[in-house]
Amino acid sequence: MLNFIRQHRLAIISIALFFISLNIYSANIKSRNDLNGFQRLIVDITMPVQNLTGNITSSFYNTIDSYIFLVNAKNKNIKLKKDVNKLNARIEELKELEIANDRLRGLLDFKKTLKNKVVSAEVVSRGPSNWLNTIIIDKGENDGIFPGLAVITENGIVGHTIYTSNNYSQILLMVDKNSSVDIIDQRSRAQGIVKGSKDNLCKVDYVLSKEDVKVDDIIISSGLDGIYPKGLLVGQIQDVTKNRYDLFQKVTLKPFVDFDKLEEVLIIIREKELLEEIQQITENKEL
Amino acid sequence: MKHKLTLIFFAIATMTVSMMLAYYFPAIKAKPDLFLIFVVFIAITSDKTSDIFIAFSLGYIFDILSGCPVGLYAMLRTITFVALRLFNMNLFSKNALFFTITTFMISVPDSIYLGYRFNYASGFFSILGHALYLSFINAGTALLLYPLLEKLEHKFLISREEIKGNY
Repeated sequence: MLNFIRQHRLAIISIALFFISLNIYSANIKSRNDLNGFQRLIVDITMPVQNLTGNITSSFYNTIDSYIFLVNAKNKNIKLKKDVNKLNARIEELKELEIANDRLRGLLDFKKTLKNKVVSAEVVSRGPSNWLNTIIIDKGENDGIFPGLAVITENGIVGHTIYTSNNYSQILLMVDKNSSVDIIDQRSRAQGIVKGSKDNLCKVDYVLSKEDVKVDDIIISSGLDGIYPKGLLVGQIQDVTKNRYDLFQKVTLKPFVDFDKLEEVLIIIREKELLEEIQQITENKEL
Repeated sequence: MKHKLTLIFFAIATMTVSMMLAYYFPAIKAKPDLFLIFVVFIAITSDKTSDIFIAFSLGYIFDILSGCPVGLYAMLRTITFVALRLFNMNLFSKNALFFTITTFMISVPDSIYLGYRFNYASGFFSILGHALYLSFINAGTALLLYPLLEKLEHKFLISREEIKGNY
């Protein structure tokens, strides 16, 4: 028996691991369950490593940028160049501070206009998968965040939380093909569902051909999906194609948010029980 | 033990580099799948059965950090490792060309499955095109990384006993 196990070690371990992973996968395939304690621990351990490496890399690049060209300079120019460099670095730093200040002021002004309680967070990483558009932020369950909360900036909707650990949360971006937002046209009140598409653009599905939708129309959230409150900015219509025989129009939307330059975001906090109740009602309706 | 710790260290390094690529180059939508390349490398170079746990764990961590349903990559990377180990016993020799071709051959079905799983609405030919494109990127990256991985293997992964055994 022992010999048999030894001889077929690879096969036995492979089959065991395959069934373990299949079991975990099938438990998560239909609905995204909350991360368990072990999975949260992995996120809480790996993200600080990622942060630290990012900071070291940034410092390394900054050092190279600032000083590498001074190495071979003549002695009499070293001090002057260093001073110029320092001043330039200081100017850049101040510029960066000014930009960050403007950005944060905008975010703060926007935060004041919101009725719901919001938590601000910083983007610390992006998901490594080629198939999912996700970001990771530095706020988690300790700050009252749980899966299914809307994430926004002053420009509009960013996405929603899918996984949370104690100190970090993962956001599925609105431009991901697996994401959807229930919307209305601000001008004509036409309804539809925004889904992610290619090149940071979105498509609007289920807009009836009879509806009046025009290029440059502003699109806002309808609040019907149970995740995004009503009235949040989503984007602007970029292209509309109508075919007289089709039931629905083909509508392309350009989101207001620049998803490649996300640095700070706001998470709209809602009562977990209320959100679960809304999601339950939505699921029942779908059934 | 040293072999295991080294592999775990390189697995963490691979994960960190992957995350940094995603963070610093968000506009590049098709990035090389370093996890896949790493799993292919350990599957065709190492003859230790227990390395399958590294493949499984890497997939599991990738699932958690990427937002995919937990278990998806863990399952795919386990299958990748086993399939390659089975072929490795009969076919493979260690060189850059085989490593590149293997990465490409593994990457195509892997990308098609993931494309179907996440972007099924795009249509088969769109998924196939994207899968081939990603596979070329993965194969190219594998070719570029091979000398480095080979050096690391000789320096860290082959144990003293194995070197003695070779002579």
